[in-house]
Amino acid sequence: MKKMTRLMALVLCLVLCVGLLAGCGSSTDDAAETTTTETAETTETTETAAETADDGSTKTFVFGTDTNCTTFDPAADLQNNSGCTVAAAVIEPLWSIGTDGSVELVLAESYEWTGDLELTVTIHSGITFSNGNALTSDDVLYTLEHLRDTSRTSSMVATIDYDATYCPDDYTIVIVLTEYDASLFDTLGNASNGILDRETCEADPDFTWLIGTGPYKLQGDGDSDRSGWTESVQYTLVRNETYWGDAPYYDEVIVKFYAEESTRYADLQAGNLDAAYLTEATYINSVDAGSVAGVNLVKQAAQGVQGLALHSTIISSESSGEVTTEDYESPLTDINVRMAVAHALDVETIVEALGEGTYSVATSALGEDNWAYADVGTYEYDPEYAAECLAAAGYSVDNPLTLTLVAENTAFNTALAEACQAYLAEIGINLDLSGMGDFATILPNLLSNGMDVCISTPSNGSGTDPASLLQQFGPSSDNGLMRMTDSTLSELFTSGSSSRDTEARAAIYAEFQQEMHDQYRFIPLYTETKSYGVMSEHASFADALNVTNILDVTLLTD
Amino acid sequence: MAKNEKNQPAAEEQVERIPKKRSYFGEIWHRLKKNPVAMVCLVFLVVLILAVVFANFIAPYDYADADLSLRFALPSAEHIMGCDEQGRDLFSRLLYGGRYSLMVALIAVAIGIVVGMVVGALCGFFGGGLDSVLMRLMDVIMAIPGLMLAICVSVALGSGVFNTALAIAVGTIPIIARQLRGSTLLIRSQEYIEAAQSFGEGYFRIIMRHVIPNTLAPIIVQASLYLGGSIMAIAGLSFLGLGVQPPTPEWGNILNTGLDYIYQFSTRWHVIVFPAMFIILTMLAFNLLGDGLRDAMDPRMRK
Amino acid sequence: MFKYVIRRLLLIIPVLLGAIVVIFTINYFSTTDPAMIKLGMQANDPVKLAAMRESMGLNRPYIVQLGSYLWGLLRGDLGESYIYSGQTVASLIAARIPNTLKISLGAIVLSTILGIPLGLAAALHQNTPIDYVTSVFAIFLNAVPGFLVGVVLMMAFAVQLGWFPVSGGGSFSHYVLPVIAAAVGPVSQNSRMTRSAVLEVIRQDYVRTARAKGISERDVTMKHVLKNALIPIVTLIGNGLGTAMAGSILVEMIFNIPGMGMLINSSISSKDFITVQGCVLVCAVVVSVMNLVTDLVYAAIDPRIKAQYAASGGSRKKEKKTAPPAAPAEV
Repeated sequence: MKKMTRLMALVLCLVLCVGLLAGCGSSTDDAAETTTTETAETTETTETAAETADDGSTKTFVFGTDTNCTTFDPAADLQNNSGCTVAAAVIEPLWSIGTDGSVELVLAESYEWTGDLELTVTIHSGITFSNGNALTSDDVLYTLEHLRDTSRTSSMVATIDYDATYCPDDYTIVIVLTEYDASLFDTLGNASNGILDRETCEADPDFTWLIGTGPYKLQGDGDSDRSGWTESVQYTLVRNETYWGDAPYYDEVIVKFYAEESTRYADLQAGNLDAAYLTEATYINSVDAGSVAGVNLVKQAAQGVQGLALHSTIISSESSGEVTTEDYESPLTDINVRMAVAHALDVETIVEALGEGTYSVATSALGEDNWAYADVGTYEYDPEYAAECLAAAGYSVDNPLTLTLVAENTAFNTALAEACQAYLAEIGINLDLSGMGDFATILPNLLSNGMDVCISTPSNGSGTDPASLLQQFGPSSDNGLMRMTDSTLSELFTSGSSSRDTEARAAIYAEFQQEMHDQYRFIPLYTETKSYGVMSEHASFADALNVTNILDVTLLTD
Repeated sequence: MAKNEKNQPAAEEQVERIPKKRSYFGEIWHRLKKNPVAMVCLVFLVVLILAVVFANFIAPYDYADADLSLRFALPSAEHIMGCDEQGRDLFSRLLYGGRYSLMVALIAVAIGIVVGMVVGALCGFFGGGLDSVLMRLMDVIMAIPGLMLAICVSVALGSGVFNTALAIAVGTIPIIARQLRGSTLLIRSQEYIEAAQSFGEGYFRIIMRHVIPNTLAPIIVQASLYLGGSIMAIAGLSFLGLGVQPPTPEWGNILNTGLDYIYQFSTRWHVIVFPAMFIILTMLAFNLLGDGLRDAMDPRMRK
Repeated sequence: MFKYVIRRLLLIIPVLLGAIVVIFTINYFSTTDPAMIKLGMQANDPVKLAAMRESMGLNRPYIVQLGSYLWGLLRGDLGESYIYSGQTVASLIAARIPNTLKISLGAIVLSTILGIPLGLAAALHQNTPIDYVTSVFAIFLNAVPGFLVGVVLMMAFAVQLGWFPVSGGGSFSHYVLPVIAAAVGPVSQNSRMTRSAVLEVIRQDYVRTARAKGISERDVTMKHVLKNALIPIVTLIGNGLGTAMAGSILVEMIFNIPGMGMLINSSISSKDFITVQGCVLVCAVVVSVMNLVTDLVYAAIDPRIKAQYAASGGSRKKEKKTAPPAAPAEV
């Protein structure tokens, strides 16, 4: 019995000791070991990151961002900040679109309209993916097909006639269109629509890894060594040694994820990050005011707009198996309700107070830096008129109307939604915020509950062409977030994207924006300007090269 | 505390407390009154609960009344605790927020205690197969950490007053059940129960008349501690985004939103300090009152 | 004794099975369709949705789904994440659990080495300023939300003073602040529990006898009081793992440490139920195993249990086992 006692005491001691050791981070436990060393390495590089020395040591750029990606499918999820960085660094599009809208060739050697609706593109020969596979026109075709098959993006390339599109040889692809699409270059020029390797992707349909032709590659081979991606933690990008272009400036780019913006900001302050994505006005302002030593503010040009989309279509009941989405007709089908919402909100006060001056009030569905922007003005804040409009629709403070709002639950969106809620409550509209959540949950919410109002951007996140920026108002949008099919708007959208004359297009989009305003389809809130806090030595690079998007820092060369 | 008191021995008391059980609680109350800390806590909690219940009369503003021009206004005569990030009166929000926090905590503890007592009494009284099955079920629930279980329930069923309360309650059931089972076993062996049984009293009646009143005292102590714990759990759920929907205020939510502005603490301290103060004071009061009650009920502590 | 160990080992199986069934059932009644979550933006295509439901086996009856989940568990398969494409829940958890265990075990160790001396000091100096100060300190710690402590610690020691890193895991210094933040609640519980356990023992006759015999106060404390008071404290420490793991969840969020807490949080917001389910399940297993170890240690050091087995020749009436005192407030 005594022996047993000792044994038990020993077990307890052992358990506690293991705990202590584990607590000290020197556990020899297998699983613990791998993670520990992995993160330890990063920590070291992180700590020295700020001193990107010239003495030949590893030059590392560490970027802190909000969320991580859950898949490497560029057409599905590589749209948020971390994803864009990876996409921009690892895969390359056929061409990229300059700030002035000009086409700058990347993988494409040349392109030519060989017919009215026939675009022949020749790609460089001799380029290989980082896994050694040669880049061929078949890979371009695969990328187009992949865009078609992925629901989020299918409408972007809806004008391509896939049956007629073909590859006459390994380096030429003939893209045939069903109708002229002015946003085609813009769409295909987007970093996240870079060319994929057919062989790799078909072997890995879940996109658990990403292989591209770009200046960087994910550390590891994606097979046994997957050290380039630690879920929820970071991406590690290293130089692609077989890159066909000029070698990039940094040896290594690390993209770290932070669930809490305050922690991200704290790490920027402590010098552990070279750049951080900032969304909350308080942080943006303190960086702008120079209160963080050595950190400058870099802002992206204002192209897109965030606003309140007012839904007006009926979600028809679709039945599949056991799932039945019910018929839902939004009260916003009545223009009186839309008018009531628009005039009940003091957008200027909301944006200025919550944005603390970092966000500017949008005056159209397009950002003011966009070439097709037309100032159609904001809706006047007039609660009495709003109440009258609501009364005309049969609702009042005593007989309130409930509208469901769906939006991604970022801190700023939540604040905006709560502010709107308070304003609308005054005229008799209850705004139900229970549909707010992670981006992935928005659609399930919409399908199962129906929704009326959405804080979102009409942009498909793909480029700066008005057809891309307004895509969700277009007839081919299958995204469902905006859910408005207005025949006038649809016609204008179609004629806008099928016109080949820029001036004519600008006129059409001006009309579009005016119609949008007159029909109360969309209440613009603020122009989307992404802000980054950047250590000054990197910011100077950004300035010198006129890089407005900090993500492009990864593309810098010596 | 409550030292210099002359009391009957515990055994005698137990015999006496059956016919006039009020005197037993009277006794506890008498002892509790001599504990100044517990009394202060009790008064504080009573005042807080009244203030929260009658928030619509006491609160100077509606909790949803926003005025963006008053965003982060510092405490003043009009807004004694200042305003939050939407320009809403913080004091009013904390009062209404207490309504949610305390209500959920009360419902959770009530569910936990009632179900726990029923299960415990059944197990203790009937024993046998029912006992084994129910106690194994309690083991199962004990195996899942409380907050985890609450997360699971909230994620699957959505968060709301009842769901959140249920989620928190489930974790407390087994502890209460085990405790009551033990006490029931003890009481069942007492002679007066046998006497009652011989008079033909039904099981239900015996449980209601003898078992539950005799085990109520320690359960009340538990309840005051669990109330504090539940408030903390609700705040934790809010932190994970499983709390109430805005604009409904809740203490954890208010504090969590306030913490976003910690970098401007010098000018926006009130959105952190006041909600933290409400949570901490309430937790302290429940804990100290629980300790006081325990001391008052423990015959050995009287020396 | 040996029989007791075997009995406890066997008992853990139905308990874990039950826990799995409970968690699975809660998630089964979830209000959102997993197929919709998995499909994301493509869920508005009813054909794709139906195909996805079919391929995920959601059309099968409850009992079949439960069966296949249990069968998967036997092979160490916790299912495939709805959100992280191509990732299994098991691999997601395996990559993160070391950090969570480090923090929660660290918190347990810290709360033991801080809580027990505090409680002992308070009890030995009952009703003196030492008692009041430590008791108030303990009660105060219990009253402060862990996430508030975490944020305040980070602001003070990482951002302002720069003594510790702000975020991430890896070296020892990364875990100092998170462990302190996660230990706040357990320290308070341990010290209060120790205090009441010691007070309980001090009043026992054998302590009085020992004192009467003229044994030095130090020996009385160490040999008689602490040794006997340790029994309920051991239980508390072991059972504290669940609390510590829950505390770790909130703390990881603040310090951006990639552990189970971060995984649970991101899975909650993206409605990745199966991952939440897996995490809760793994926690339940860890907690159960820890409770088992505690119970065994408890049995080994508690002379009463030993005596029972010694006297009755190894068999024992189950009636007597009302489980070791799990409720801290019982005293």
